[in-house]
Amino acid sequence: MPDFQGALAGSSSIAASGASRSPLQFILKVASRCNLNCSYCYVYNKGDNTWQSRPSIMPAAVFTAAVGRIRRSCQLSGQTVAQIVFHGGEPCLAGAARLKAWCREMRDGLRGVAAPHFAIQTNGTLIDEEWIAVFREEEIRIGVSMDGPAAIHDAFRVDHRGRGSHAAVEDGRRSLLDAGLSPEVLSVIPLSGDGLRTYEYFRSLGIRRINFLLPDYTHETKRSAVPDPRATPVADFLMPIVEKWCRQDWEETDVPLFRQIAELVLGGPSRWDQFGNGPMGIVCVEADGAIEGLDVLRVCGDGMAAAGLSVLRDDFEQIATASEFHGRAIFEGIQVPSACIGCPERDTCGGGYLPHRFSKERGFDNASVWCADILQLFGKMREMLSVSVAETASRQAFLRLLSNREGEPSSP
Amino acid sequence: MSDRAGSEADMADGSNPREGSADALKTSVDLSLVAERPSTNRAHNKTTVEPELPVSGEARERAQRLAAQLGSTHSG
Repeated sequence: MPDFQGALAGSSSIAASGASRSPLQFILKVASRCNLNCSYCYVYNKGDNTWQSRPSIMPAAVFTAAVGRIRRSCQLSGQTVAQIVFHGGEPCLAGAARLKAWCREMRDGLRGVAAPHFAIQTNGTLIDEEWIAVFREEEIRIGVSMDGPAAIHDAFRVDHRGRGSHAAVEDGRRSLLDAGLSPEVLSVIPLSGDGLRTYEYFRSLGIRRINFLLPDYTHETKRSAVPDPRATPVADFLMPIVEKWCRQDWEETDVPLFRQIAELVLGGPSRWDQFGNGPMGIVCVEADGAIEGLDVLRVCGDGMAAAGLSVLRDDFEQIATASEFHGRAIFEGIQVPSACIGCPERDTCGGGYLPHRFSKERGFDNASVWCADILQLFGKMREMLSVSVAETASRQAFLRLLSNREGEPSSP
Repeated sequence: MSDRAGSEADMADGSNPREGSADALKTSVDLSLVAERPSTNRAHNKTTVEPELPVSGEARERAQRLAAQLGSTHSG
């Protein structure tokens, strides 16, 4: 269980009671296996082996226990909406009929407490008419993992025999669009390649919500993929897209990565775990019932995401006492890396995504491995929106004032 | 495509100057920050799901007024 002093400086008063914390989002790993074997996958190919000891599909008893724990968590926090994300592995391996039944069980289980809002993050290769019917009937939002045209996608997203999956994903994506559903695309940034071409490819497919993920590397592993320490492949990929999106596309194509950066430089809060260093507000339930903090932390080492809890025994809020590190990360947010003190983007970037800060020597007390890339992106957004760092600070103050006034009685 | 060709294309389709679009983006984000008051509940990096952003008509009207205050700091 991880415990890094560098990340935990200051007194700990984690809001475990639930009453004073933000709502949680619940990530359910309904399948611990995948029909693909993507080379960069943080579940299978980054050094964590916990998946091997887990059931392939979440047993019914585990799901039922998870429903009960989610209900209790919502009661504790008072949240009236519960974001439920079916995740994996490949969640479609659980089967459409089973997932449909589970959606209904979740609705019944949360009745009178919170409304479940469902989403699924899938590789898209198993989507058929039965799945489409379930997505529609159960109002499940669909995210499809796809990296671009076949030449880019098939370089990473391969099956267990090394064969590219682009054609199968395309079939699934087309079926969804033909059925009138609007899948969102989640794309891992390749460390070489034409960003604008990739972005335009998605747009040409009719995708109107495209998100880009910074590749999952730590300070221990990045050098193997990016030997030149001066290289900024993420920025190189994204900068032309940022410019075009800001100038032409933002109204018709949503790119949450860019919108979040725009919100942050305009004084807004962090709404994504990639930036801002706020509380994660996310808990994961593995197929065997294990409660985990941020699942992507497994790229930092075997078992790093584990909290030692299970929905079969424990409430989500017990993370706060079981693991100070996970508790702080989920409910409070950990300390900004000391390397970021004095950085003009400290309060917007916040040190970047937690797993990308990790080194064996200093734990999470490092700037992101993508620091130089992120600074370029924030700089580009500032240029596009004509917002200085000083203006961001004054906007943050204004919005805080506005929030404080919200709670005051209105004047006659 | 050259800059010149791009400019001609802009004029041909009657679109606004590009900087104007970036300004409109800024105003749009301002409005959402004031009206929708994005939740501090955060979205998971490995999904495309985001927290709900309820918007009422009243909130949007109030946002129009308050965003004007924010807008007074616009330099673009």
